[in-house]
Amino acid sequence: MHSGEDESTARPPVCATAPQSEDRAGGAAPEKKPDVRVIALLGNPNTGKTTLFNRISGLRHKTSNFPGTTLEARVARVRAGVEGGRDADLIDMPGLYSIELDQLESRVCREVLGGQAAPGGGRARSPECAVVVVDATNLARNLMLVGEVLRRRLPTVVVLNMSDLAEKRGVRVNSLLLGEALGCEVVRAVARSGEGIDEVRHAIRRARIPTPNPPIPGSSEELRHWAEDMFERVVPGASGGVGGGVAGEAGALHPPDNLEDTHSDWADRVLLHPVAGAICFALVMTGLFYAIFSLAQFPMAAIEWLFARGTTLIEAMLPAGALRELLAEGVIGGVGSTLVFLPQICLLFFLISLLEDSGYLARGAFLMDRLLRPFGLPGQAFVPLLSSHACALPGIMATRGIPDLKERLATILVAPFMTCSARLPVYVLLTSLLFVGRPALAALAFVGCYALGIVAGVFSALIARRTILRGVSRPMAMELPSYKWPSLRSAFITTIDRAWTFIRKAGTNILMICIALWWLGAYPHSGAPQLSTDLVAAAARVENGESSVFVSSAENNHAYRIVHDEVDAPDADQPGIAISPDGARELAAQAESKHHAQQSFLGRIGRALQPAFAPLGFDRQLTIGVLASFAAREVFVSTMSVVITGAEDTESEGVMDQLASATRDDGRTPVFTRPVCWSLLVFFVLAMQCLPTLAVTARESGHVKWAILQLVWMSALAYISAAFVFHVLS
Amino acid sequence: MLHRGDRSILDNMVSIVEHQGAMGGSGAGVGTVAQVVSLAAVAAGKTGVVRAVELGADDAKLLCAMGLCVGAKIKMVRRGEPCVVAVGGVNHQRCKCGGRCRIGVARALAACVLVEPD
Repeated sequence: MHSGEDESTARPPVCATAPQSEDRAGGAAPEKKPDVRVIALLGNPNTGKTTLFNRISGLRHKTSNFPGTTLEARVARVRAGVEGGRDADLIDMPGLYSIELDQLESRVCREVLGGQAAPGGGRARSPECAVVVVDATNLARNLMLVGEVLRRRLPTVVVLNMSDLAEKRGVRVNSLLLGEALGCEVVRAVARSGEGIDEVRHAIRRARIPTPNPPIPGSSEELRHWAEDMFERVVPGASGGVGGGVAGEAGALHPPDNLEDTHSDWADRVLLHPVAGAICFALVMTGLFYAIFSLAQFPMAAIEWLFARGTTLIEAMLPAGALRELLAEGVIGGVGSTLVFLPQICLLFFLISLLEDSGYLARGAFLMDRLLRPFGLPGQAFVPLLSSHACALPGIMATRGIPDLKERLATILVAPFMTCSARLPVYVLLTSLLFVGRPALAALAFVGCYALGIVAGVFSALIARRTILRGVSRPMAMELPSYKWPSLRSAFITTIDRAWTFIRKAGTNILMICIALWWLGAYPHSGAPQLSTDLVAAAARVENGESSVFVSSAENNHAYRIVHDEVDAPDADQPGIAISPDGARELAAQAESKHHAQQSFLGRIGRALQPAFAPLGFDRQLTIGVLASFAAREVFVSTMSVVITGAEDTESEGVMDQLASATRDDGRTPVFTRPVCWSLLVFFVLAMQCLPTLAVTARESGHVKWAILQLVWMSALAYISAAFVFHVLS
Repeated sequence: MLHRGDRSILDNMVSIVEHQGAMGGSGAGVGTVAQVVSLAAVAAGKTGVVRAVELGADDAKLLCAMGLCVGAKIKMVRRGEPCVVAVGGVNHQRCKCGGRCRIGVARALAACVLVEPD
């Protein structure tokens, strides 16, 4: 690949005119006015760059992608400087160690600094200022990136972050001296507490093209020497003759020897230990999983309750008709089904943000790397895959922590194989149909489903990495930052940012999908079936004085006798099941919703598609259930109970028995035979039956083709496996 | 110079490398024959100086940007796959690069970094 070395030569100063490329992404209208400046914010990973960005921008920022990539860019409109400063777009670049590497992050960074790319389809322009955040506790290494940026001769400001922490460790950086040597302004700041943020704004306004002395060398090894020379020059005592780590007054001036054990090293003795570390990691991950699996249930239930109330309210306010149905069931229901994902997304990102900030997430990736590497996945894929066991949506969103693009795509592709909580009601239904009265075996089948999902996922990842996503698996080289207290404020901002991005980018698509699926299931309205009209009429006649009315149905070969009181109904030898008028009305309502479910568009599509599902053992009713579960898998259970019994709630008495004894259209063959149950179970473990996930995959992978691939891959695997299971068992 | 070999062979190999003065760093290696081992073979708690990075330009650049480049003083914090290496400076044996820098390195990479143990 082209490495862009040619751009590293000196650039002339660029003023705010003459954009070099027009709207590359083409999508968004060029809303930026010509006098808006661009400020690039860059720095090594773990320097507190994001915390600084959050400090400067607060919540006023937009998240978009760099054109043609899935690389995320956050852009904040800020007022640089206090008096009369012009507005500027502050672009938060991805954290990187060097801008001269042949990696996506480096390339994008070079393009932004060179004025060739702008995030979110904005007009590309050369930045008027580059702000480099450096970690004062790791200054010598961080100065290498500063050197690379200074070589580009853009107005530059260096922010010396975490200077408080560095001083605690005996590294007192003379920022004036450093500024003189670098030829640009150096601002001491503590992003966590907000100290020095105003000075950063001032410095951005005053930024000049740097004149470093000594000049910056070309090769990376010479740059390393330059950085360390610079470090020794500006940190008193760094080059002195006193040995490192000397305590006391004099020692406080001398930075400790880097190779000596620190508190973090002691913590790592335990946390990176093959046994103790694995146990700690398992505990932390259990907590994380518990939070998104269980704790999120409460706000999710609240959201569902709220939107159910909304539906009731609209139904009470509007007259009956198509508009009321659309608003109450389609729109309100759809918004509810979209927002119900938010609690899990928020909790997950809040916790991940805290773990990342504390430095532990890097250790987790480190520990898991060994486990996942054989399947072509990096250690960073663990948290997304684990989260996918609660819900694939937050899991796929969490893949942003994976640096390598192909590894990230592979993780996105296989994340929905993990058993999400929406599959659980289906597993419960099928295992209880399979193992009546044998809970131990049902539990075993449950575990088997989880295992099948994981195995299918990791092997799919392996296949993907060997074929379409083939590429050198970048062997791990990652920094293990010192442990520190995470910033709650930054975690909150990240969480709100993620939630908002989800609503804006994926939420609208998910809402559309929900409304479309509701419409397919609700329309067209069909008249009441003969049985229910007969039952209602008979109930009225009995209440008007007739002693008993006989109703028979050709549909399900049942006969009913409507009587005043079913208990002491006379002539028990007469044909038909004795029921009360109220029971008859209830039965009529069930027959009507059952009839409606079968006559709806979804029911008709199910009937048309049934032959395709026949090799899996699915009849027409099961096919409708499987199709309806594309909105969300758990919908399968309620759809099946509506299609078969007409009752919506499987908890209610007798519905499970009715499901177990349900027959196909011929009235004899049971729907849920043993082979069919197993085939369904395998199908639900493997199939891609979640359109919201596809919407998020398309969004996060940057292209709809990955969502299509995911759908085809998972569905084909599910189809073949389920057909195999059905064939073997029957 | 070194033969680029199979990584697993290189892993525990002890080789003799002739160092040019330009290869950087002070100490015993300059202009003489020094013993180097792969980073993956350095025992936990032991220190050394990086003498060669036998990797492609991009991997080498990344490691260098993280501090692991020729002349840098290192200490093996934890062996294994992946291993944890403390990285110091290149200018001095006492290597005060101004902070604590620990990097996790996969064996595949560590095997290609040659270290002269102290």
